[in-house]
Amino acid sequence: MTQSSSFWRKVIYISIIGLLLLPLSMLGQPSTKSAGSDLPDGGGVLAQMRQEEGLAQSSLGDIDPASETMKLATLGLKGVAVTILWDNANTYKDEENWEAFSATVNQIIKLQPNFITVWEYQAHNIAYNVSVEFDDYQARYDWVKKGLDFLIQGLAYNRRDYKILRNLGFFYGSKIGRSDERLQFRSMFRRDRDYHEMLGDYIPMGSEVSTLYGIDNWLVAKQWYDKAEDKVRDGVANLKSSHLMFYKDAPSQLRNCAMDLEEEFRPEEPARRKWSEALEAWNEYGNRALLTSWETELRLNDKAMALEELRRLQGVLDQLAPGVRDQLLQERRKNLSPEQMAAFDKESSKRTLEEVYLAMEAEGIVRVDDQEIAAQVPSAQSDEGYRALRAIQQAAEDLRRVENYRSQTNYYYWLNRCEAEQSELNLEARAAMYDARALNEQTILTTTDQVDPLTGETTEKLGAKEMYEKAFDKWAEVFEAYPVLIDGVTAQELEESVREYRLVLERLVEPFPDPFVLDFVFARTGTGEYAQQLETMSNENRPSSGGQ
Amino acid sequence: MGYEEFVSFADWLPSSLATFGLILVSCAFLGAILAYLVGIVRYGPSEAFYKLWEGIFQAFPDLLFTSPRRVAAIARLAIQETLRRRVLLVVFALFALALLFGGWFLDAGSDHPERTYLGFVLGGTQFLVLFLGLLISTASLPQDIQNKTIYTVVTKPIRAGEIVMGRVLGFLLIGTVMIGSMGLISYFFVVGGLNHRHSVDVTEFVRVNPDSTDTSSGRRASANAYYEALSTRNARHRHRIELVLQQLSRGEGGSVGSGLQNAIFYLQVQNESGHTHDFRSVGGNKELNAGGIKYTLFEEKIEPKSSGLLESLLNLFSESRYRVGLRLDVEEGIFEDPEAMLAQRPLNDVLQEMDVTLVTSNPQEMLQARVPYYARELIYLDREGNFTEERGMSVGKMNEKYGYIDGGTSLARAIYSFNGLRPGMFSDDRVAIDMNLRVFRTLKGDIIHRVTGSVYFRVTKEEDGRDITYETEPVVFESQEYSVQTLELSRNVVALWTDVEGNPARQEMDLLTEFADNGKFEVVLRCNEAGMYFGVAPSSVYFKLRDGSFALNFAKCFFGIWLQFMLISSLGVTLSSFLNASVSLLATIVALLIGFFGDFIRDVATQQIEGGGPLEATYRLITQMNVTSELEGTIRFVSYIDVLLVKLMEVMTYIIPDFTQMHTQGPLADGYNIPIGLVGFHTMVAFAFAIVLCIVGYFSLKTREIAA
Repeated sequence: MTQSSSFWRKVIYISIIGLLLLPLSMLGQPSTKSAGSDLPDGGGVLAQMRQEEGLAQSSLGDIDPASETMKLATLGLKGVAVTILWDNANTYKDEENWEAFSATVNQIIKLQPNFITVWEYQAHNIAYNVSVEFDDYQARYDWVKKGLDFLIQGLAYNRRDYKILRNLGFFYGSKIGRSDERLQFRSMFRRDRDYHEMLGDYIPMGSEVSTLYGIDNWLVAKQWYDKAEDKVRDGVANLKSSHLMFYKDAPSQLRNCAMDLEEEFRPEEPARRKWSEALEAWNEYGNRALLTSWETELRLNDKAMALEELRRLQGVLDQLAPGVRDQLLQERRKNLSPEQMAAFDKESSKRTLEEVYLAMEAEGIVRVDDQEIAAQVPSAQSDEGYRALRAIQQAAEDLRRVENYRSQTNYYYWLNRCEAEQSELNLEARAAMYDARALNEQTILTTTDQVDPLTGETTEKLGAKEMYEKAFDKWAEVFEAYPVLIDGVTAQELEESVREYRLVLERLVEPFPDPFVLDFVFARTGTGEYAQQLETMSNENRPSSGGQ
Repeated sequence: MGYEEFVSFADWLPSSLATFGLILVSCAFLGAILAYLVGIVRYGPSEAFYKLWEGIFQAFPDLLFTSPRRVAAIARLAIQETLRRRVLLVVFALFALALLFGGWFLDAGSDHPERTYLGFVLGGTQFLVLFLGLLISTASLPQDIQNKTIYTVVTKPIRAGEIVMGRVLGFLLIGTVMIGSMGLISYFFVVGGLNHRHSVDVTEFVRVNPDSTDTSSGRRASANAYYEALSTRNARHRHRIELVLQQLSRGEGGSVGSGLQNAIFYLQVQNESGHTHDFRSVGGNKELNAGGIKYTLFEEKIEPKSSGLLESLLNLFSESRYRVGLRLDVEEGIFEDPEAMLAQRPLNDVLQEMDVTLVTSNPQEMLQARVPYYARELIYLDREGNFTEERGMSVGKMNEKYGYIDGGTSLARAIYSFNGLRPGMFSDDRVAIDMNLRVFRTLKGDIIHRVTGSVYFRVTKEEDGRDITYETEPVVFESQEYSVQTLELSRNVVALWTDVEGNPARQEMDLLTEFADNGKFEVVLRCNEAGMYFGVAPSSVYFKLRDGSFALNFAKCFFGIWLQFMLISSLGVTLSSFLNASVSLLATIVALLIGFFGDFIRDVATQQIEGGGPLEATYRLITQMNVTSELEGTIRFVSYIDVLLVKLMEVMTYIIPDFTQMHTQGPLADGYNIPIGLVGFHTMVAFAFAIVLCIVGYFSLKTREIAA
């Protein structure tokens, strides 16, 4: 009796286990990979749900046996293990135990391989925070590379993500090219041939990233940004950030490269070529249809078209109320003070800083609102007037959006800068400045006569002072030709050179020239938005739109 | 880092023995009370009293007349049992598999691959060995009791103590063989895995200026480097090779203008991935005469340092050290400087014409056992030069181990007082000071160069009733942060002082026999640059004595694992003498966890770690509650229960030895010698604990036997 009941009990248990296996199998059956397909298909309910939501490990990226083993070994306590490891990493950082910190971070990432923020945070931690703890710039460079290598590891696990690629672009560009030690970092990066070889596994490392002086970090950064763009273009990743900012990154790297080449080497053809490429890329960016936050598309280069349309529509309104705009304008000009009037009438590029402000005030006073003109349209044509006003308001809104987007990226300034920097005049100015600095470093402060020991011929060799003066003369010409550069980085760079020039004069016990050839430049810098104003003012006679 | 504040074995032993005796007597007394209480429950008060005294009186002859022969027989039995269970085979197979395939995943290109390798073999061995100890020690006795096979033993004239000791001894013998073989295999795995060589293409040498950053890698050339090349890429790294000037000899009178007579350069391998290499020249010495200069490429053997018979023997297994130099002898013409000599013919051409092949040795300074001699005391002087109670300045870092001294015109100093240094501690007429400093900059300063500091010796002697302070000329150095930098200094120092008449005096002296004739002196450290700070700790500056043997250090580390195995085995056997197999396994695991995480448990008990005890932490985990949030409502009662639980765990941490102390992987991997006194200290602790456990095991088995 007892043996029999025991037997039946076992039979029942086994049957229940068997029955439970069926739903378990339906739920948990793993997906299979069909031939010729990268992505798995089929499988149980859970596998299919993972597939649909894009959460399957195989659809996110590579599966690392070590990572999976570690996750399994935590027996479902991955969260606990990760918390402990994060705590340990922070402790090691506080204790300045960098080796242990680095090892712990690598363990964390084995447990959280698809958590993008972890990759970003810890890579930043290593490349930016840990690296600067070292006094030796060579050790700093090694730790920056460790941070970058760490981030590169994340690519394999997150094939559908573009943020890691963008971060890589940012790190390769700004960390190597904008740190205090940028000259040393860039120099080491150019010569790091083993590292270039490693990078070749991920991005093209041929002429795309090379200049005459070697492989450039900014061009490497551009390759990462390009890769991010490719991912979005191919639909592998969904772009969830501002299109304006996303597409700005890649073309910006070319001008960064050009700027640094001009700083590090005598500005010659390689830098000019990079400026030319930068202009082309910036124009391409301007022609790209960008999705805006209003969920419409716009192109940065559409500004001229939008302005033309606005003017056309305002012309239509003016025809309905002939002479009203001019009449209102003339009436309001009477309200201007003589100073405002003078500044307003002066050519925009010739205005001083004070006149810029006066002109801005004047513009506010004389502004004629389209609504005021529409109000003067005869009542028989009021419907047409209203329609024209509505169209003007829409066109003005379109223009405002383009202008808004252009100002966010300083589009107009960089467009002009890229063009200006290619000019012979600009190259000469920069070359003279480079030579002046070199002479200053060699403490050849003023012009000396040098006698050739063989021929006995005497030649005059310019000193730092004369070379600076030559450079400033050239710069004055550059600013005359490209006034937009006055408010940008260019003028700020010059301030540093003028300081050096002052020191040279002090050592020669000579006074600073008064007037100074670049007075007009420094009289205008400081508005912060001068380039933008210049852009606005360059649209001569642009009537203001009403009803905004 | 090495052990910084270790009390010497001779100092520790007498005081510890007294404490140990006191604890032993107290435990025995408490144990007797506990046994009496248990006896009361089982037999009633008077019977329990009788049995207790009977047990105690029987214990003395049982323990005193333990038969080594019978213990050996039980040990043999334990070994046979273990071999039958094949658990050894499984553990060894796992170890072999780990070594066979683990090597693929070890990062040889990391900054310190030796740490990765050592961490892997030591961690793996420790885990497997302790796992083995757990399995074999906790299951053996209960199985015998359950299968009644124990009666084949206890029916013989054998004492309970002998059963316990025999089993522990048997398991220890098994562990010894396992750990010994694992250690031997691990040693060759580590050494073999890390060994690699590089070669240099002699045509790749390019001229560099000393201290310049215009090098092939963009890294700064050494202060006396004239040529550089990059080695071949092996083990995921390359080394920069430099030709550095070692010695210059001038002609008549040594004056400038008389020209150089000869210059000696050495090929140096720059540190990369935490190691360097020696150079070897294949084909022996070579000579070449060209452009009025005789070029001689030579190879020198550097004699291995040893400090005893055992270490000398162990050094036989290590590679001898060599260096390759290039000597330039002027035969015609006048050369004012080494640049002019080297300009006569490019190094590439010289080496090619000599038909030289350059290869490196296996890594050096990777697997080493530095022997530090730490200062007795470190004091700080503030920027006015006054003694300060504070441990230097704080620069706002979380790590408070380092106190900072500022540089420039500041009088801030870090003064290390040494005592007892003798000439015999160093291998030749030089002394080596190791420094591990921190640097803090308040301004960017010169990026290319590291912050400089200087170090000098100071001693105060009494002469004619007055204290005279002698100081040596300062030695300037460039700091190397987060690494150990060695300053090799001549023992012949120039001492400067003001004599009793107030006149400045100067004399060359031997540092250890004349300058500090009683072995006591100070090492004074200062930072030279304004706006810069040096961070120093008591262990930041020490004298580096003759290196110990890495093989011996490695063996000491494995001995630590053996001690842990002994503790686990004796604990397992003792617990299994009164618990069944699964419970004793669980109890041993708990003891093991307490032994490994004692610090953590104490931190939880003293609330230095937030989140509460086990129950509260579990509640927080399940509810995903922040550790800083207060528990609210009735659930607060768990924290009251936790107080008891955590206290109990804390008490246990004081009873169970700290296993982590016996794990000496840290200093081994960092390249520091494990002091033999420390090994003695661990051995004493482990044996004391094991003996006490055997006694407890004896009593419990005896009780069980009576019950049976």
